[in-house]
This record gives sequence, C-alpha cells and structure tokens, in this order.
Amino acid sequence: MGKRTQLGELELIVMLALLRLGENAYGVPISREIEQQSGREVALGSVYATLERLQEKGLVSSNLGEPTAERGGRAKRYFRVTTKGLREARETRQALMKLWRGLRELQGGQV
Amino acid sequence: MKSSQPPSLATWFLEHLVPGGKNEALAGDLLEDFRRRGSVAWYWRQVIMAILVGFSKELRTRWIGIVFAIIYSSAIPWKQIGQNLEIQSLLLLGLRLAWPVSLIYQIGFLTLLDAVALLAALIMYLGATRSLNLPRFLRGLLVAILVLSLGNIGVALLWIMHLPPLFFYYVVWRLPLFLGLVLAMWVARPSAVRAEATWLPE
Repeated sequence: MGKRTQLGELELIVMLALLRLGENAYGVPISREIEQQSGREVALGSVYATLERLQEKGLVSSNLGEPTAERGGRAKRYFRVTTKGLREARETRQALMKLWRGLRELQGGQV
Repeated sequence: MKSSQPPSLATWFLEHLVPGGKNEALAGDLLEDFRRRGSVAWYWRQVIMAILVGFSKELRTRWIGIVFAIIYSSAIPWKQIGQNLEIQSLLLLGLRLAWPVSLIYQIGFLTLLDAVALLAALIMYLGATRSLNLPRFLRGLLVAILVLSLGNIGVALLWIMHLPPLFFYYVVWRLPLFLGLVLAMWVARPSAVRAEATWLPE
C-alpha cells in the first residue's frame, strides 16, 4: 500500500462532488453541487484552488473542452477523479466510518 | 442589482490581478454563472475571492523569498552607511537646494541607495534559485524602483510626523526595501506553471 495523502475537508467535499457529477464535472456544476449537498456556498476561486491542489496530489485530472459563446469564447475545464483519488476517497470514508461508529452523542439528530 | 453584463472592471481585475496567469476556465465559469444569477455584487465577490485565494496560494509557495526579504532588509546597516562621509556630503548637497527640489533630491538619493541594495539582493536570489531571465529581471527592477520611490515619499512624510525613532529607523525606514524586494522577486521569478490541459496518467 502506498503512502496516504491527507485530505482536507474541502478537498473531500470537492472529490465527492466530482464523483456525483461524473462526465459533466466543471466549475459551475461542481460549486452548485457542493451548495446543494452541503448547504454552503463556496467561491469558484476556492473550488479551483482546491482542484489544482488535488491535481498536484494526483487525485484529480483535467482536460479542456470546446470554447462556447455563452462563456465569452472560453473553454470549460472538465475534472475527474483518478484511480488514486478513488482509492483515497474510499480509505478516508472507511477511516471516518470507524471514528463515527458507536458514538451515541451523534445518533438520533438531537443535541 | 441585476445586469446582463458583468462589470468590466471586475473582469479586468480577474484577468490581471489573479496570480499565476489567466485562468480561462474560471473566467468562463464566472461569466456562465453570472448570466444565470445576474448579480453584480455576486460577481465582484467571486472576483475578490479569486484574487485573495490566488495571493494566499502564492504566499504559501513563496514564503522563502519573503523570509529572505525580511532578513535582508533588516540586516542592511543603514546607520553605518549614513555615517559615511561621502554619503553625508552627497546628502547635504541636496539640503542646500531650494524646496521642493531639496526634498525631491533626498527622496531620489534614498531611492538610489535602496535600489543598489535591492539590486544586489535580487541578483543573489535569482542566482540561488537559478531563475535569472533578463526581461523578467528588468521588469522586476522597474517595478521595484517604482515601489522604492513611492515608499520613500511615504518615509519622508512619516519623518515629518516625528514617529518614535526606534520604530522609524528599524521598521518604517526599511519598509520600501522590503516591499520593493518582495515585488521584484515576485515579478522576476514566475510561479509554477498552471497545470496543462491534459488527462494526467493514473
């Protein structure tokens, strides 16, 4: 097993949004997905900074699409989770599930 | 406020002030989302956030340069330099001139001293990082001279305000060199190239 990469909270959220979106994962739908699923608005600049960081870690890859008129002739950059990224997300989930298990304080939705 | 076109000043900021070069995809995303929302305030917020995020990333990657600038600008022995007789006579030469020429002369003289110190530091930094590129170096130097000139005008104005001497000589006096050096290094040495448009190998 290779060395694990530490995932920050926003990095994990962005990766989960990429996995949900599949082929259509570029800036606008990614930030919209995060807003819908987590209820928090994240600036597109922060989303891109996170994606660049994930790309540097080899967890995400990207390619440019065709330029479109509605975007002022600018191309979309599509992102997808790499195999390494998928493995990382799975391991993070398992680690979090272990930490979650048996915590009575966090069950039932009451404080 | 609803609008069909994003504010052009904000778009200009986005294209020129976000460190790391133009991000076409981000600019396109902002335009696409703006056309759906139509909010000028939202667009400005996004642009400001993009600039702030870009600068914080740059600061994280360039912290060594900033530490170098702090150490270098603190270590210059201005007191000893100021006691040098030749330098003193050159400075006094300006004091004999009529105001405001005397003030301009002094600001110019201080800027020249700072510029010599900055030039040495910039060459050291670019040599150590093996990133000497003549056009970028000259651009960096030009930006630095502008910052030094403005900074020394500020120093002259603050000198009139009679700030505590220690604070003035150890902080205010050294600020133009520090800021000029940071900006010169920033311009003369580009940050890592943005990831290119290819699928990375998995």
